[in-house]
Amino acid sequence: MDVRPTLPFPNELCGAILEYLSQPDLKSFSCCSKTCRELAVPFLYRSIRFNAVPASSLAEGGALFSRLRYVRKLRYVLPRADLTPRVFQADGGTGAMRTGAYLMKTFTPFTDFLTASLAFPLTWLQLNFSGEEHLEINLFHTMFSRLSQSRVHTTLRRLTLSYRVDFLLPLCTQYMILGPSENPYETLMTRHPGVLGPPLLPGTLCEAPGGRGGMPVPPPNLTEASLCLRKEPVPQPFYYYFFAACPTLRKFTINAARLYPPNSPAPLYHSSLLSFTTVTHLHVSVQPYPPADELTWVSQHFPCVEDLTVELHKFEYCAQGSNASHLQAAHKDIRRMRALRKATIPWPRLRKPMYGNVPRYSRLYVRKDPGEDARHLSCAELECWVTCWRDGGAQLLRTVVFDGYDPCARRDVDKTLLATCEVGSGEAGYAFSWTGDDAKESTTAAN
Amino acid sequence: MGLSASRQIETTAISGHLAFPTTAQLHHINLPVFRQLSTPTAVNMTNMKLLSSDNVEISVEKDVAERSVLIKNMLEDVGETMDAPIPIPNVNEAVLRKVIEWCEHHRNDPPPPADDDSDSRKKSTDIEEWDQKFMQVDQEMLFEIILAANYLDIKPLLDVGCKTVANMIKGKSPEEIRKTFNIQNDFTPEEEDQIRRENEWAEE
Repeated sequence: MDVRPTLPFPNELCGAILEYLSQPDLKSFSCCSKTCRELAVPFLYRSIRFNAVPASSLAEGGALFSRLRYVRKLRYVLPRADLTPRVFQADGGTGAMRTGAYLMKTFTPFTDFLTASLAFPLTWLQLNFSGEEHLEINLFHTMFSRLSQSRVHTTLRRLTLSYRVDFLLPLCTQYMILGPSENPYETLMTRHPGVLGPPLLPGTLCEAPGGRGGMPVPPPNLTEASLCLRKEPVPQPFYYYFFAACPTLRKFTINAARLYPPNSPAPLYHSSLLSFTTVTHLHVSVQPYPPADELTWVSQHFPCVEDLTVELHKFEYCAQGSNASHLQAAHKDIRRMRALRKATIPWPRLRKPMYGNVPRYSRLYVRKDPGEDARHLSCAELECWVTCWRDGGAQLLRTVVFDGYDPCARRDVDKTLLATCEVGSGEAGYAFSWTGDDAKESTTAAN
Repeated sequence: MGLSASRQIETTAISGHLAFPTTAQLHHINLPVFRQLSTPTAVNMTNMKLLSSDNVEISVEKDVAERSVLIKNMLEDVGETMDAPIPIPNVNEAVLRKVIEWCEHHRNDPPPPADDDSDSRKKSTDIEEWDQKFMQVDQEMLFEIILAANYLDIKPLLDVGCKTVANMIKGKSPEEIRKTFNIQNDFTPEEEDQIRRENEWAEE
């Protein structure tokens, strides 16, 4: 199509401008004239929600077919279970098993997408299963088996997966009592295929239309993955193994209520089969504070993490006691991260528990000591912490960012505390230099 | 810099009838040069001339002009001699002066961080205050500045210009955008309907 410049620019400059527009603005711009439309289309269709697209428009000659080459990011929301016809086989209360009919319904759009995806170099896939309450491991397996046979598999760089995890709990708690060195992902596939029961054996799934047998191969060029879990996880869910097997995964984001499940013993320091050896940037967003078990878990499974961010997306205070040494003990596992260069953690704070009972995971601790006042730790105290981490093994640690964002904080007092502590070597031990608006203020406030 | 420093040494060496300057002399001679090197603001205070498309010579400090990658590369190719004005055939005097004004204000800016992941994250359209004021010009001038920034290869100025135009589009209805940029609507009502439907597939 002949594209005449609408704005007095060469087209590539138009591109530079449209780069800054949000989707609604791009839509408005694309409605202005034919030229505007042609200019906006490559940007407009970078990101599409697959479910909204009628299958006919994807076929050759369809309305979307010519746009497919612009698609970089695609969001696929698994159709809600209650909208699809399904037949359950009650299986001793372990969960519902689905028939092929359900599968067809669920995966027809996905198969369509994979067929269409041959036409475009998708780099970011966002899969949303959160509407699905009983998604089993075999559905996950099918999805990625099929993905591994499409072209998208090699172009994919980012993967975002969000779902509720409760559907995995019955399977994993009942059938996956594993030794410390067992991989539940493989075990479930090989040792207990019967668990998944007829008619949905993993093999059956893979032989369903559009699929071939075989284990899902992790995308070879995936560099960034995000997991958004709505519920509490099992200790080592199978999809962790899938991600850990990605050869080029660098950046990993986990957004979950907890990284470590309730009702389970505190994490052990045994060497684990599950190890994200390629991940250097880890971002975890959790609820409990202080994140003691979370840090232990990270130190155990992410041996090469260089940049760690721990963020609180909800505040749930669960310290055993309200004094600074408890708080320090809760952060001790940072020293086990030997490759760590930069850490961003919530500004350590002491609080008075509200009800006398301090829930730590599912166990209740009844506090006996009245504890200290609620306060932020001072820079001097934090310097001691950092010294301990450095001496304890995290020798490469250079930068610690204390980010005090606290959704539950009183708005006027301690909403935004942010300071960066740079660690260098001084004449006697380490030298610390602090930057940040609140660094000094917080020191005085604490004293 | 290195060139002129060594030239200085040679001259002194010859005038002092010495084949090679002694260490002490070298030290003495080079000291001011080294001091200059260590303070980046003091470097390249030399002036040079640019020639606009309407044949106006504009004098500009070298490090200001070197905000333009085009001029910087040109100077590197030519060497240190630059008595003749550098012709900028695509940019007229008014625009060139405006561009130089921007370069002067931003002469000490650190190089922008390299963003490797530009296709996945939307860029922010925030513009710093001085730049916002700077860009308060009529539309024609704004477009000329953007084109000049593109030609002279001044990435930060180009970004500011593009952001300014993007902000002019932001939050407006198609009709308002047409009005702002004087665009003729060449869609039939049916085509407009079709576009609205197709647009629903796209998302943030």
